[in-house]
Amino acid sequence: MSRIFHEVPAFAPDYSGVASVLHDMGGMIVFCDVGGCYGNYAAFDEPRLGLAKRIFSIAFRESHLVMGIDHMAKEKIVESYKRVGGGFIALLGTPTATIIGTDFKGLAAEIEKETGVPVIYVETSGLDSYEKGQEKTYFALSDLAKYVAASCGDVHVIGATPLDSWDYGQKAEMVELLKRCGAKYPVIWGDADTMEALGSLEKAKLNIAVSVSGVKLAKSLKEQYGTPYRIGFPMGKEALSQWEKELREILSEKSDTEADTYQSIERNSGEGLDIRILIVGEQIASNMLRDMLCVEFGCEKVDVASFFEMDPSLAQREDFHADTESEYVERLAGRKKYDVIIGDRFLTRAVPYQTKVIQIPCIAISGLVFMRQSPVLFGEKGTLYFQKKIEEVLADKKEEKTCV
Amino acid sequence: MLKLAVYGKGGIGKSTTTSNLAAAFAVLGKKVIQIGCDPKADSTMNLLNGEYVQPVMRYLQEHGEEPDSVEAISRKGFGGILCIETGGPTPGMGCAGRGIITTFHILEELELFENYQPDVVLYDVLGDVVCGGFAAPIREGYAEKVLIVTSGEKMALYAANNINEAVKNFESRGYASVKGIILNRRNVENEREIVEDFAKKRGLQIVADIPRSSEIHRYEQQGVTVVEGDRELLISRKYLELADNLLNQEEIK
Repeated sequence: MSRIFHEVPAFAPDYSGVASVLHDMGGMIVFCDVGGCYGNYAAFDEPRLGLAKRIFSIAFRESHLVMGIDHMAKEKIVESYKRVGGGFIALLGTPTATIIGTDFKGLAAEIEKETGVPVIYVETSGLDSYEKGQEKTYFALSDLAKYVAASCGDVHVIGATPLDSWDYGQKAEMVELLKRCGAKYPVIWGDADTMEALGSLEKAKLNIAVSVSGVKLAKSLKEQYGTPYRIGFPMGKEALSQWEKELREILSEKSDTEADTYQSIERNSGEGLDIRILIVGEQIASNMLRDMLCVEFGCEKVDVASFFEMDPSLAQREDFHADTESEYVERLAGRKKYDVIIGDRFLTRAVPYQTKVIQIPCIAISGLVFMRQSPVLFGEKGTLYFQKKIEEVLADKKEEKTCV
Repeated sequence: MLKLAVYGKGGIGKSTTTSNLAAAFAVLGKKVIQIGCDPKADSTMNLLNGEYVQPVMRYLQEHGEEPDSVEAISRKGFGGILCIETGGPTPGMGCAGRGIITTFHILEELELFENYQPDVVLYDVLGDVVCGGFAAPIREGYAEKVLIVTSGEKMALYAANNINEAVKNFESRGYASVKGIILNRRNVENEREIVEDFAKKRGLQIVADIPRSSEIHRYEQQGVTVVEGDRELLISRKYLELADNLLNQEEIK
């Protein structure tokens, strides 16, 4: 019974993670499902739908499940590709197709042979959450790099999708920052030019993993090509200033600076704020937020929790991963009460006590329901947003003391 | 690494053949893994003195999470053979084919072959290639060769034909091919001729002719294979000869 979620909804599944990475890349994306998986992705997990014309469900029926979907899938996909085209075809596995043991790898090879375009199959089953699908997709794309002609691209940004709370505006700000600091051809993976830019992966100057789904690949590329990497992105004005300084050094023509992997910004000395904060969400964005709260607002106790994958090397001592809602609730109940919990509304409502909540919607958790309420936290905007929020927290705390 | 999947009609003697073959490979000094792909989970019991190994699917059910080591889901039997059983649902429930796929993914994640470095891997697969799950052993490089066990009986040959067709269906995907037929005799009249004719029509060869023997039953009662029980018996020598031939052909290749 411990796996039942009462307050927290089902998270965006792995196949949605794959589609969110590939959405803008100009390929044909095929959900190998009856229709519900595609429906879930379209209705809850993807704010950009409508921009892409080549995403659809293969819509198999019960008889196909009994007889095997291989033949009909191949026929439909090849036929559809003739009509809509695209730079590649992606096959997305879903629970039903996986349970009946569909041989996706073999199917992908046959479709590739017949159409002559690369077919990407990322092993998804709907049984994992979105970041696992994304992680596999990034590796699948990097595997394609060896078939792509050498191209421009000096900084590769991996992990920026709407499911990680990256919209077009934030991606543009990242590109602008990188160019300002000396990058000539920054590439955000998932953008339209990604396929072509894969040809520059081997000789890139820097890779940046901006969400947890990009971390393993960034580390692997360091091993394969020796490319330095950074993890994170600037949240808050102090972080922006530090990122600018470091990026300029790393990207300058004469630089022999090795990018560090992940380094928290130094805290300002002085009296800290006596408030206990828990951030619940994707690990990298949460870490960036923690840095900002500590450095700019003097918060002394900020922990991070996540239902999604967490890299232990990027976690602090009190951070925790929860597999289930009950584990999450037990962890919270077993600790001294947090004064503030920051995260998606569905996660904050599962908190087993009354406390101050700062809501930051996450599409992977609450879908598109609260999307419009998402604050922009990149660079100085993060400082501005939290300035107000922290003032509110302090005012509440003062009021509480007065009442007592 | 020699990777073989053994298929055949239910009750034709696949587990007996597979575990005797595994024992023969071990006698020849090879490091062997046998993976039973059957919900009954009894493929390896004659390598384990009649005892069972906890099936992978049972482990999953009991622990609620995947095993973190191969040791948790395997036992070493005769000749150091590493015995693993996929297991599966109780009859009438769930999906046995899915159990095979799930087990294979777990073994892959545990990097079984990379860490254990076996010389020979044998998959003992329940019955016919009835669905995607039962085809898993012959896909994606798990097994490279298929051995079909049959007698001269009509139903056994019917199943053998289905298995051969299933393997052919995957030919374009570059998966396993049929290595040959193991004739497991049931004392049918003109049995050799019947099976030879069947094989010839499909371009297959008979790689072993195993005589019907009461010794099999006798040693199974003791929880061992005939190869372990008495390797000088005619039937034991047949298994040893087959193992030796398969290894030689692998080396020549």
